[in-house]
Amino acid sequence: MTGERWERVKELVAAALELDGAAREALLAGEVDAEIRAEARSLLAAEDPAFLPLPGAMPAAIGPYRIVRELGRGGMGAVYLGERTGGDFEQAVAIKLIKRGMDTDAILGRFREERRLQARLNHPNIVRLLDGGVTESGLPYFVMEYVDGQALDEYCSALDLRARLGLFLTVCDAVDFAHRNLILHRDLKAANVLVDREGRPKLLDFGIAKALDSETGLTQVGWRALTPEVASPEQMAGGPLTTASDVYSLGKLLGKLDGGAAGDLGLIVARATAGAVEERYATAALLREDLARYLAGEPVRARAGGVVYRARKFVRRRWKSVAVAAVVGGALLFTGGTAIREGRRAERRFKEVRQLANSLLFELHDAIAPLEGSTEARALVVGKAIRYLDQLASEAGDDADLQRELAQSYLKLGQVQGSYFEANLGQVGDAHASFAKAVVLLEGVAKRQPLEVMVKAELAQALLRLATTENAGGRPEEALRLCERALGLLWMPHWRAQLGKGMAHFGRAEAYLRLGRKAESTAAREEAISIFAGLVAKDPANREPLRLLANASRRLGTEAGVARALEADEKLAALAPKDTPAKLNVAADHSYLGALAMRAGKFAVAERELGLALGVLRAHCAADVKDVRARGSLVHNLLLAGQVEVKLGRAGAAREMVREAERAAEGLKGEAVEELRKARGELGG
Amino acid sequence: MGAEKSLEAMLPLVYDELRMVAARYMSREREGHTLQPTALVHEAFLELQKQYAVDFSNRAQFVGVAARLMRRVLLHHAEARGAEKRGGPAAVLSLDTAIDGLEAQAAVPFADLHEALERLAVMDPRQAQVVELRCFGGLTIEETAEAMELSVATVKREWQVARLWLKRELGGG
Repeated sequence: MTGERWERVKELVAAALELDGAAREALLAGEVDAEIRAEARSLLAAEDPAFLPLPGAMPAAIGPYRIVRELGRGGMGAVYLGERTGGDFEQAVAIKLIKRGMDTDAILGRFREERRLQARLNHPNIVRLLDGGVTESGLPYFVMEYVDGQALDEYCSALDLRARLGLFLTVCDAVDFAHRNLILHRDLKAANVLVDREGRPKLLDFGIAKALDSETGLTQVGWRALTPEVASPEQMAGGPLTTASDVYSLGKLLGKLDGGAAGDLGLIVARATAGAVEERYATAALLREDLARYLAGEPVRARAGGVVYRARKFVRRRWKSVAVAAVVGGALLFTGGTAIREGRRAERRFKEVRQLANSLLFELHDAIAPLEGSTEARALVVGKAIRYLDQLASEAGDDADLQRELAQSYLKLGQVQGSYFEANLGQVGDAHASFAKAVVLLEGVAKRQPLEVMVKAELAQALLRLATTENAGGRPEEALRLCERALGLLWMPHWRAQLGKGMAHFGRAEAYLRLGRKAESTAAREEAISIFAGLVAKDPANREPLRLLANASRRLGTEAGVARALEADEKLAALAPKDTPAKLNVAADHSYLGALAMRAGKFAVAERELGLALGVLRAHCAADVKDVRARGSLVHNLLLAGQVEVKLGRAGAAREMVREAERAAEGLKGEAVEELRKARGELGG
Repeated sequence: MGAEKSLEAMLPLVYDELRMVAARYMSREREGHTLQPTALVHEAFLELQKQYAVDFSNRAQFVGVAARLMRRVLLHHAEARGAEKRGGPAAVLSLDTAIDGLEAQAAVPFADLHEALERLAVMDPRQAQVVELRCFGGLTIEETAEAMELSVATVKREWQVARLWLKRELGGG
């Protein structure tokens, strides 16, 4: 059936779908054309709600519940009004059907846990979680008490402030009750607080957020159950949650209801929604208490905290001037003996901060760096460290010892941020800034203490670090200048100074390379290599010269050079078996040798070398899923190996490599993907 | 259609990119949207389209072409995977998810759904277009109406009847 008649059929069917039973029959009977009528009937008979429902279509039943209508739709899925008909009872329930694409097994597993815990949550203002399961089409669902009501913010729009706050107090009570039963809500937004026809607030979705939260930290395709508007800072950062996180959300909710109130109420909201956890009300009960005090016209705690806190901060900032002025002037700037006591306390705190920064950087980083999967942890350390160091630097004044210490810390920080002597998080700009800070600090000290030899050595080291970022940042003339300045400072016989000289020559070699002056580059590199080799010979167990020898030799780019680097890297790996960067360097050397062999047409050699590299890379990437650089390397090497397989006439194996590369490349950007695209094109598939 | 030709030419190149981009896209929550996996692939396609800067005279034309290409991509993928076990880590492969979803909802293999749609297109091209936009472009009824410059009521009718027709065609066995 086509054309106009088909259009008639469509109209008829569409109209019939709007009607039920007798009305529908009447409509169909009214159609004079028998063929059209029959076609319409036939189509209507095919009605199947489960067929291609797509968004917007409602299931007829979920589990043992009949679906009456849709109540709403959210980010996680749709909520339906359901009825359980069984025997002689009818119960209205709300069923939350989770949308396709979530990890069903994991969700249900966590849900069962939650349900066990929630058996304790018997409270008049908390909606009970009744049941849960999986539909036939594999979607998880949760069944709750049905509440016929409005969301809190809507309901409150018709109330005055006192009435709203009264409701809010009840909400706090409910949240506190749950907390005392060790259950957090995690998603306290207005839509999750319904007010029923009797004006009773009911909290929804306790624990569902937890059940839905994909907690596996390593999965990149993880879905987080949170509402950005009310989520606390620690929740947004994916950190551990406490009762204070729920307090934050409550604070945001209160902020919505209070109509922009200032004064005491504003302070209460501010305290509940403070960014730092320790500045908030610790429990919902404390928030409730303060709110109750406000309503009773009594002074609120939120006000008291501010002044003392601010005063403490002020004194800490000015401790030197406060203490000195107090002593010299013989007079006290504040009442009683507070100033000096505050001063001493501040100095202690100062020392604490300093120790903390050092231990953070040196000990923690050194402990974490060699381990598998450390990339993310190290990023956290770096973030904290920057804050502490900058704070210390601003308070250091003329303290030479402190400044030298700080300079070392900045150097260490810069190394972590990005330098090509160590495994890094890839941020050259940040490293440059950190190294520059170190140079500035040390230049200051060197000027004031011209006879201090160690200061000169430290300054030289900082200059060299800075030079690496100049080279990496595309300013080779600057790098050259810095390296030559460093050489001038490193005349001492100490092995560290010699090491520095080697590094200075290495830096020069890099700079010449970027300036296109190849001959001078090679000469400088040979200088560096001979210095490092000499140091290795003198002390074979010393890792630093070994490392630098490896880097310098590798940079020659010849088979001999890389083979020498491999030798050094293998020694390093042997000296420190748990050291991940060392293993990866060995892999890189094999990879490099493989690439050189390919260029020379020695494919069997290439296959062997690349195989060795891949062995290490595969193992590492499996253990540290977050190491993007290593994965990029894995993709690159797989593609190289693929090309070798093609040259060796093994197309099948080549395709295997490419497929493996694709899997490894999932989620990567940039060069790796570019390579992949080219490779696929070349291999035709 | 010049635009379609250039997109077609790009298809082999972007095919796997779609998966990666879509997987990344699925990890970002979109409040208030219940997107289908096909819609996600479509959205991923939109992102790629920005990169390739193909010129379209209007959104409707683009959406139409994109949905058609999406359908071809899915068909290609469905044929390719065939009896082969779906490998790879637990990463959400949007193409597989999209096909699985559609197959579950249609209760037939993807190729059969595709063929039924081809037959529908012969009978009623506009109706088939609605189905294609909804199933493979992931558009809502309102969005489809906008893209095709029809009324919501018309689209709703086309969609409802098309579903019945397809079910009848496929359900018979």
